[in-house]
Formats: sequence, structure tokens, C-alpha cells
Amino acid sequence: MKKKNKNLSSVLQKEAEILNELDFDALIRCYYVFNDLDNYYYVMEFGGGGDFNTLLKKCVNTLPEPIVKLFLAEMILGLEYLHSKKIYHKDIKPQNILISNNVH
Amino acid sequence: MRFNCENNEERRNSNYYPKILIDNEYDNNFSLNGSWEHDPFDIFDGEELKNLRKVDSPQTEKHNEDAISINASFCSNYSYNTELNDSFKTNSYSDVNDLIELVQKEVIEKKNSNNNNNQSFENETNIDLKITDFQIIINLSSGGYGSVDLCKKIKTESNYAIKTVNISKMVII
Repeated sequence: MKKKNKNLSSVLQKEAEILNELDFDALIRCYYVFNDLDNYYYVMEFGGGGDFNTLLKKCVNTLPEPIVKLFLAEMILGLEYLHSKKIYHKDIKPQNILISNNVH
Repeated sequence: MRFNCENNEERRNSNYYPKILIDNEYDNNFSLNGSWEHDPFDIFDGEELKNLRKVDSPQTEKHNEDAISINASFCSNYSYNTELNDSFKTNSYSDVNDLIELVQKEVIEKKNSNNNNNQSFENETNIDLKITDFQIIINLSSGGYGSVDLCKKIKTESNYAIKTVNISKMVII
């Protein structure tokens, strides 16, 4: 059990280090990471616009094309930046795409 | 009627119009500026038109109204960026590469303007934070590993999203 916790901590620590390295506007910023006995906490930028999945559910077939294009372009930029740093997301889904207050 | 589709294939696959137009003479009426010269529904008589134009249930109508109001709020927010917005309006067939270039430019500008704003938190990273330094305002989502909450930092009253990962729930493959 101790070994498992140690492994988990190292994985989470590594994730925190990766997040800390990222500095790109199309990606949510992670400001700080701390932990207690049970949890790891990631203090991140608050988007305010909800996630893409919620938006899709609300606007079935009615999202204006320019907005779809904008989102796609920003997603591509974000992924391009990650890939340039040899980081692979492996869990891209609408729920993990967050929208900021000013529709970015 | 306006279409923002670049070619016939896209237009045919558009969600807004039925695919029955594919083998129709009206197929050639799509002008280069992206508009129909004739209403594509003109080719049907009244009965066919009624069948084609789906009558929405009250629930669907309400849903559509919601969607329209969301779109309106989007468009109003969207107009804050005049450069990008104007570009979309004047060049609705813009190439994805052009778009990426525009967004990239905007991202760099935004990054430069935000550089000073982000300093405040970065300077505090030497201070050890605890969860008690934050006040949870609302739970945004919960998942397999933990949850994401909207929290207010008590000291500065600024809002952050805090992702909480429960170590005991994690599984390493």
C-alpha cells in the first residue's frame, strides 16, 4: 500500500511539474499544486464559460460556424503547443475543453 | 439565405437543409458568394413543403429559443475582439490556416497584456498554501478521481478552479 501511494505521489508530482511548465493562453493555467494526506489540489485558472460538452448540449446544430471555427483553431493551437513539448493529452473530450468568460 | 460552406459537398452535408437537393436542378443555383439565388424550398408544392419543414414540438421550440439566446450572448461577447470578428464577417470562407494565424496573433497579444496580471499569484508560490486558504463557492463537476470546485482565495478574494484529486481513488495502470 505504501508503495502504491509512493507511485501515485510521483505520478501526481510529475503531472504538477508538467502543468507548471505550460504557459499558453489556449490552455488552462495551473498556478499552484499542494497536497494533504488524502488529496492533491491543483489551483487552476477559472474559465467561467463552462465546458464544451454543456455548450454542445444546449446548442445542438445551432452553434454559429465562426465560433466553431474559432474553438477548433484554438484547440489545434493548444494541442500543437502540447505536442511541441512532447506532451500527449490522451483524454481529449468535450468535457475537458473549457471556455473562458470571453469565449475562448 | 446564407451559407458559410465552401463547396457543394459541405453544403449538401449541412445540417440546416435536407439532402434531397443533391440531384436537383437547384443544385447549381448556389452562387459563389455563398447565397442561394432561389429559395430551395420553392421547388416543392405546398404539401411537400409542409412535410419537409418539420414542425417543432413546444419543447423543441423552447430548446431552440434557449439556443438562440445563448448564441446571442456568444455573439455579443464575441464582438469584443473586433479584429477577429471583422475578419470572420468579411471572410467567412477563410482558410483554417489563416484562422490559426489570426488566433495565434491574438493569443500573443493577450499573453503580453496578461503578463502583469499573472505575476501576483506567481510571486506567492513560495508561500505554502492550504485548502483552508480557500473558500469553496460551488462544485463545478465531479469525476472518478475527485472534483473541481470554484473557490475564492480568502486573502485576495480572487476566483480559482481547484481540482481535487483523491489519492485513494486513483488507480495506476
